Amino acid sequence: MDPSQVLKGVLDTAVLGALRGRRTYGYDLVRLLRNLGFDEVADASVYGTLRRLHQAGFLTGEIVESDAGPARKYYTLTGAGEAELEASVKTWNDMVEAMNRILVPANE
Amino acid sequence: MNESNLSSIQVHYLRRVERLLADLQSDDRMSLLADLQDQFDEIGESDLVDRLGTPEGFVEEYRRSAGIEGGPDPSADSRSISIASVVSALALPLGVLVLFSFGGQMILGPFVVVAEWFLARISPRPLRIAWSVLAGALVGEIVVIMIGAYLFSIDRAVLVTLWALIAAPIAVFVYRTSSARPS
Repeated sequence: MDPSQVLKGVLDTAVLGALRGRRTYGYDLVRLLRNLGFDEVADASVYGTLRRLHQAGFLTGEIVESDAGPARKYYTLTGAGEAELEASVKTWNDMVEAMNRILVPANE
Repeated sequence: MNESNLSSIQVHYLRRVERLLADLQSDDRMSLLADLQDQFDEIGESDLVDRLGTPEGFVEEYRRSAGIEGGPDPSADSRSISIASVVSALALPLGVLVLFSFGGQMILGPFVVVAEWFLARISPRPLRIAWSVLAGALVGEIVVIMIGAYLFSIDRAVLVTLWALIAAPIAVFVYRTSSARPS
């Protein structure tokens, strides 16, 4: 199984989940995902996913000027983003349960 | 965008990504470039392509993930850059010729300075610096020749100092204004 293909399928959920209760910018999110074990995900995929989720209304984006460098866009979850995350978590859990039902007996 | 702490390779990478995303809203493009600039602080110059891929590959993946269709033709963009660079490089000796021509700069000078600014604008950085220096030198030369024509007794050292004092800020001005890109 190619991990990068699996990651692409769950990247939206991972980004929404990583932003829950957090306000952060693109590169910080890339670092966070890597620290959480998403080593294989392409950085461009994270930036692109952020833009798409923002356009879809799941995230707010606020430009914040910085003395140390260029202005950054900080993202936070919207109410619609929270609802989308809840639905995605349910789908994920259902899928894990279904996969376990298939795979666990085979491994015993 | 402050790029003074970036290497020429990193600046080239940013410029290329910026051009390839020219169809995006300025807000989206600039925030992505800011994230990349942050990332450059932690990625070594030699690891840049290993980590992010080529600018073309990076933008292709970004567009795919963002669900953005189309975009500028990367090959057409490369052609226009290389043609502009070749024209600029070939014209450089002509600029030097005008600078050292006897009297020619007084007739052609203002037109040549404007042409130099436009050539600086379409040129890559090394040629842009050369055109900016030439433009500054030419403006300084024109002013010094005019002053020298009215004040015959003025000291040569004063004229040279005056030339340098005029040429330097003009060169900086031409470089800065020709480097500015629309966001």
